Amino acid sequence: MLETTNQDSAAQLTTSRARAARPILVDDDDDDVRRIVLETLEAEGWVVLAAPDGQQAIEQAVWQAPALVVLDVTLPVLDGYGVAGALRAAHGARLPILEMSGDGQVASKAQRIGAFAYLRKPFDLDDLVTAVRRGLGDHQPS
Amino acid sequence: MLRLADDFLELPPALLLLAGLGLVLSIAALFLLPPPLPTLPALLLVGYFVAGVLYAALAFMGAARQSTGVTRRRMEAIATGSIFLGLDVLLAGVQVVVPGLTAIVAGLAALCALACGVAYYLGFATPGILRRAWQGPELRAFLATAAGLAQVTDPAAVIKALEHGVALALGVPQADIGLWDDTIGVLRFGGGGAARSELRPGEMLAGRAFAAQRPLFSDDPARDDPANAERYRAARAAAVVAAPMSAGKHRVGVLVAYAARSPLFVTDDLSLVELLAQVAAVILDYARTYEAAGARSRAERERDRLRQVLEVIPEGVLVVDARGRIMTINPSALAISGRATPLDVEVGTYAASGVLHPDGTPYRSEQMPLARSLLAGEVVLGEEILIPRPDATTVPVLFSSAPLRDGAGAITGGVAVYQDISALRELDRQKDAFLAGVSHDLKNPLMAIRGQSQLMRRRITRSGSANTQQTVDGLAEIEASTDRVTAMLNELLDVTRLQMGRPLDLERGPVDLVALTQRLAEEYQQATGEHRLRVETDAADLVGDWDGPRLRRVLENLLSNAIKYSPDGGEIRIEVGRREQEGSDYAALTVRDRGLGIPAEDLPRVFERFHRGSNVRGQVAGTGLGLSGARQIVEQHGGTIAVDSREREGTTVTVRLPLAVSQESPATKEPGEG
Repeated sequence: MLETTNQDSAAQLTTSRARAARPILVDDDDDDVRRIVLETLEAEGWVVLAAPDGQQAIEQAVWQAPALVVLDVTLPVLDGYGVAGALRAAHGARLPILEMSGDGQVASKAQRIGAFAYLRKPFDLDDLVTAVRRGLGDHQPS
Repeated sequence: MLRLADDFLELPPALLLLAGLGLVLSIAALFLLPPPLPTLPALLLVGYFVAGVLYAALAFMGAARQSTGVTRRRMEAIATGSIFLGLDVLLAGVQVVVPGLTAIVAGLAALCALACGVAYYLGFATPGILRRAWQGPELRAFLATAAGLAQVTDPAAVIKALEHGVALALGVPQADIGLWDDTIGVLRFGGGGAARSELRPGEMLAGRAFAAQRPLFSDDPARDDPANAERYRAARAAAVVAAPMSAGKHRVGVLVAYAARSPLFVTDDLSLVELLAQVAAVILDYARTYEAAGARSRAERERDRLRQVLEVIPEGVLVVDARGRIMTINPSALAISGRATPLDVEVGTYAASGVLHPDGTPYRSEQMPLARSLLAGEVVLGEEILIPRPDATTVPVLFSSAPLRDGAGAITGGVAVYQDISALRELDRQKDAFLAGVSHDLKNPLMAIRGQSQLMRRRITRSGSANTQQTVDGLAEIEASTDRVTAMLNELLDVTRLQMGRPLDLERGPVDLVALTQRLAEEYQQATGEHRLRVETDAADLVGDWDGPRLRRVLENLLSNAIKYSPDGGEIRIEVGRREQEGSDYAALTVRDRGLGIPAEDLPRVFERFHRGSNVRGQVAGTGLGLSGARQIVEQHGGTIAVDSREREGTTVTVRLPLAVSQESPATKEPGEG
């Protein structure tokens, strides 16, 4: 499954300048959450790819190396640890990962996955944007 | 003659005096009056002698009735002899009065004298052969009683029966048996006779007979043993006979018989007493041996039962000596630790067993519960520890231990009992996992609600005005998400109710089982790569009056089980269709996997709450809540659910739901709910 930017966000992309040449990969098995994160990040001008499970996330990243990954560790087929390991193997150990989770062990999971930050669901979209900016900051001259 | 009778029956002293006076007068008359005697004095003399002799005969008969055995027969003989003596004297009187009858009367008198002589001979000097014959019936009666005693196990009852039998056989009112206690050197009596409850050898007649190991008798014990005269008198023991009882070389005790009156013939009965004493000794010896053997076999039975208890109880049991070495270990203890043989450890090296605290830190030897019981006498109650197994897994156990002490209170060892609480811990883990899962899943719709509202706010802020269509769509998203939260909370409530074994409040409506099954199969197919879910149906639709969300949960449970318990993948076949049985239609749904299967011994328990198959524990994560809840939902719909499985071949679950609208039984609805 591939979710691409729609007409609306493509229009915004021209007005607010594309901030990233490489896309942000959003991986969450919850359709609503995935859509909201996608729309929020696209509204900020980023190119966003989205996947509902770990397997598809890796397939997405084969074509285009992501600049940052927003990941829910609890994923079907291949869990977040597997996704993080595979992506880092393919695109370098410094690939920034933003972990989001609804369970109590979000902090320890983030540490285990090597995420630079984590968001506890239900999080504030401003915090999401701030965290993504911070994650891209190291790699993305703006 | 009367004096003799007095020995057996109390005669009035006046009578004896009268008799004595008569005797003196008779002698005087015989000496003073020249023969032939005048008629009157002669008749007086005859009358006097006849009366005296007949009285004596009556007295002996009375005594005979009160005694038994040889004594009785001899009394009877003497009484008979006395009657003949009386007749003889009477005939002498007749000769005096009617001289003409001399020849016939003289003959009769001679016959009477002969009979009297024979009877007195038998009575006063009984020949041995006759004595033994006369002893026969009593002896037989006693031996019959004695034979019955072999089955009596209570020694006190045996002694009482023997005493009674001896008293009967001897024809005396009282017989006592004193048992020899060689630990303290006394003869012990049950009481009732003249003897004290304990006698030392040599004390009283009984003690003397025992010390001498031969029978003794006294026809006046008060005279022969003045120190104990009062005792004999108090017991009305006018004559005493005592015989030692021994079985082989084993001294058993002494038999004492008391007669209220001094028996004339006690010397003759002495051999009988001796015989009875020997028989009693053998029986008592046997009874004691038998009792000891019985006690031993009781102890053995007790030990066997304890051993069996240790064999079968599911708790591990350990017994250690004072140094902490394992003396006894039961099969459960070995099974819990996964070992075939116990560890060779002492209290100082207990840490070598690798036992851990629940947090995973190792125990020091002296911290171990058994070590604390051995070293400090501590009673440890239900300490949770982890026991390592050779296969590198650990078993959580609840461990209790206590010291074993000797009579003086010194610690001689310890005992430990422990229980495998893996199942409890697994239950805890499942509940935790379930709760964590639920709260995790709840976060997504909450995130969607919050995110959707923020998204809408950000758009409005950015563009300065609200896009009507976007706003309508966003609000619809929020509404849908609140529905998801509600559905999740309802499910959580359902699970809680099912966990407590309480019925759900079904909300029936038209549900198409075929469509529901296909939709779910697709959803699950998307989530799994290794399995192939195939739905087979011969019906386009199958609509029943069911509770859709609950039925969905049943199906979800069956499908997730089929996937979960076939870890190597493979085909999962789902058949759904209309069937008929006994004139009524029902929907049949079968989910068939080729997975691990369920061990035969676990099959009856698959519908138990939290039960999990023994072959998947620790391998496949699960909540274990499912099948019991699924069954409850199906049964509340008036349907059935059945599981058929073979280990390593796969499992088939069949659900049948009635298609006709059925009345839910009122019992499954709870008042004040819904």
